Amino acid sequence: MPQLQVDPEVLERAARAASADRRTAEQAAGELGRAFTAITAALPGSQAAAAAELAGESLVAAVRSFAAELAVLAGALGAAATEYVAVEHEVSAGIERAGRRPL
Amino acid sequence: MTLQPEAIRTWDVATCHAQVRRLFTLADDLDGAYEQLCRTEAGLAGWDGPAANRARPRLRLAAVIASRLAGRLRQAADAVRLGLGGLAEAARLARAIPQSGRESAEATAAAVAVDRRVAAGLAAAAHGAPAMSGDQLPLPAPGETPAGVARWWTALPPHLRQLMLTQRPAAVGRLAGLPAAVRDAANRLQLTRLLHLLRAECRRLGAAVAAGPAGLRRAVTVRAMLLVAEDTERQLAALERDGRPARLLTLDLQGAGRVAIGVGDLDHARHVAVLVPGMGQDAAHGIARTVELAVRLRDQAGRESAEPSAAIAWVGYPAPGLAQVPFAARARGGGQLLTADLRALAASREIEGGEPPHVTLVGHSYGSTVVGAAACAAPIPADDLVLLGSPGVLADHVDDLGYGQRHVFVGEAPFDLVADLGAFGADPGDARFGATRIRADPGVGVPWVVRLSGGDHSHYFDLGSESLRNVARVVVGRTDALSRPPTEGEP
Repeated sequence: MPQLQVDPEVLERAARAASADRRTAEQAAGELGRAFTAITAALPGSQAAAAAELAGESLVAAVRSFAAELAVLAGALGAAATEYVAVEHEVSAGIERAGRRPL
Repeated sequence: MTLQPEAIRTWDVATCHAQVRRLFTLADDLDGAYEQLCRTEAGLAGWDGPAANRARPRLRLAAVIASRLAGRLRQAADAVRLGLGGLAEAARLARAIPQSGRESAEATAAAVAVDRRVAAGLAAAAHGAPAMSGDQLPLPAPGETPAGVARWWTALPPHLRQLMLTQRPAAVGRLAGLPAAVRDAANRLQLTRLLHLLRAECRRLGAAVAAGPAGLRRAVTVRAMLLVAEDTERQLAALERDGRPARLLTLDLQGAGRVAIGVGDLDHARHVAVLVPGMGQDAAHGIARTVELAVRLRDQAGRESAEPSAAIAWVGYPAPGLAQVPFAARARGGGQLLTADLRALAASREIEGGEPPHVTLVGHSYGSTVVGAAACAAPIPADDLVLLGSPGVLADHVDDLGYGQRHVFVGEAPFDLVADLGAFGADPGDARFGATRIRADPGVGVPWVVRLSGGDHSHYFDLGSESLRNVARVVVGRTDALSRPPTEGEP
């Protein structure tokens, strides 16, 4: 039986922080996409414009993928916090019921 | 794809510049996400069990991904930033009416070259740097220029920056071109380590002196290094106690030692003064006096202007003793070291397109000869030179320094014998030298017996003195407010 030590509140906080980071990443993906598009448009006919377009696409995809990973992490941490609380309540209720049974 | 002049004419470099700034800001946001993920992971330290063992590594990995993304984004932004000047020039040339077909071809060739450079930089950022572990920390190549070091640092993801600082502080502290705050953090770590090691070795050698002359020699060397390290620690602690931000820019305990301490925020100050001391003022003989003068100068600069300023106590060369002071060799060697450090400062301020500061070199006594040696040898990234009590600057005219009259200021106190020596070229205080002369009277209270025996030479930084006020005015660019000495012999 593995050792278990949990504070659901800490998990909730971690989930909220990961969620905030996800929002930051999503916002950054949108903004950097627009920035690279602007650079591409500002240097018509150049290799730099073509490279900016590629760099933009690559970085936007990478940041979006990072945001998606954070969404999964935030979801998992939040769900874990909820489940630990639910299990705690269930166990507590079970002990309460057992305590009411005549010996 | 051939680059057409018609297209080059329409390049909008201002837009590129604005977007570069935006990309750097977004990289900062990703830095923030990286730091928060590190904190989140650390906050889960009390969570234990199988689920925790799966969650924590994923959080760590997410933090590293955020860090790498920030690095790639900065790398891309920097690739465009470094090309901005060339792109603007190419567009300007394309818009100008060419005088000949050759001119037109040259303008297009220049545009093609800068275009390729920017494209290559962007392509590297698009692919991303290969993953690196802690034992493969990527230092810049030996001999890399300060500008190259600054570019390397810009693209380095924050988790690797942190790793570099903690695992290679000696190397990071020496890297010319890094922000002052980074070198300071590295050098302080290194100082703590060295103090620990040197104290331990001192104790060990103290017990083994009887072992012979080799042990004795080593004991003397270690003791000398320890004295410089302890002196540096004391000065930093004193500055901290007084609430003054300090930056340990240079820490080298070998030989006479090299220590440079910046007072103020060197990474953002609008004005930076670099104080170069004279005879007998090397690190081995103590840095306290130069640090104290730098503090006085920065404080006075703060009284002369609301713009932020910083001063560097540059105890960065083996200053001459009595035996060496008649010769220029130490000045020439010191000049080379000074130039290298000034280039490092300039490169560090250009990171991410920052504004370069207004830099003033303030050389006192033989320190002014060092300043002159640096200026005569090569162009240096400094805007103004102040020469105080100068025995000569290895030049016969201000033009030899590569500066015009309006950027070289000479202060000579009324009773300063050294300033009239003209031992290293013409007397800079002589009107024929062509510099701007400033009043350099000492503070009140210097006994006449001291003054009449040439003692003014050591009072250029007296609190409340006209000399200190004038030097500070040059430092903050208020040259219109300078007080001038009597006009006899003015050009």
